[in-house]
Amino acid sequence: MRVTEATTDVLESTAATTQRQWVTIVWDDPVNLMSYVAFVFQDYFKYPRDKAERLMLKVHNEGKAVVSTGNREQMERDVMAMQNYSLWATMEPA
Amino acid sequence: MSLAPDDVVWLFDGREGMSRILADLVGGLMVSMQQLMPPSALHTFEDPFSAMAADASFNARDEVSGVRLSRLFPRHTTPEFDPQGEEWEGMVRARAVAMHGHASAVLAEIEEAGELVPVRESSVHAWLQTLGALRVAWHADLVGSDAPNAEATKAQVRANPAMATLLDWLAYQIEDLITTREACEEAGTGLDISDIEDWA
Repeated sequence: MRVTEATTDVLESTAATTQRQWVTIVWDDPVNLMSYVAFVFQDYFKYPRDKAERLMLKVHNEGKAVVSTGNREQMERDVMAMQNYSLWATMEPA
Repeated sequence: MSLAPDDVVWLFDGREGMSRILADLVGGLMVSMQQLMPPSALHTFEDPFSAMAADASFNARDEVSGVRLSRLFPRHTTPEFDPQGEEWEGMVRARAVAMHGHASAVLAEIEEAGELVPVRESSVHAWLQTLGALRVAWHADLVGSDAPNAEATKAQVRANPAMATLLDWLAYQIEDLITTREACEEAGTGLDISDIEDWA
């Protein structure tokens, strides 16, 4: 019984961790151009131009913007992708 | 409107020696990335086990040094970031391989075309990621810091005017590429470079 309960606890905890929502944040920096940042959002996330520009302006004016939401694995991919474009990006729990 | 992969969406103007300068910068980036790539990505091994052994003994994390590389490979991307972890090792290797690939493609196009380099839709990623990486890395060099939010002071710009000018030039190339590509996208067609030989 104890082994079964322990196994169930582990499985439930893993499922909860997997399903927990995370966000990718892109931060403002003094190097990357606004046009470049907007292009990256359109190109990688396939956001329409107006959404990409809105997010870019949020980064520029407020210092950061949440650019995507998803499970941890998805956000790790998105952060890596942003860094591949040399943008400053991190992830955190939603 | 979408563009075909073969559509020319930008023309890099490398006249007046700028082609050589960009080629040198891109070549330097490739050399830097090679320091972070696993041996199997750089050399041919007699058997797969030798390749695996070489890769296993290679530590890309330890090669991320200096402000330029540290800025290109920022740490602390997740709350549980472990600088000695295998996950970080894998990320560094993968990104170095990808960046080297992009830079290599850009350099090949410059060397093939010479001063006026037609950039096709299929090459846009490689060009933008390479130009972007160059600008970020050399900005870190100018400010002497790998902090992503480090801004250049007037004193730093005065101390290194050539670098500041280079950074402005890279910015212009990035902006020009994006703007020209957007114009092509709106027109639904690439640039007509049929008379390019007359431009040089």
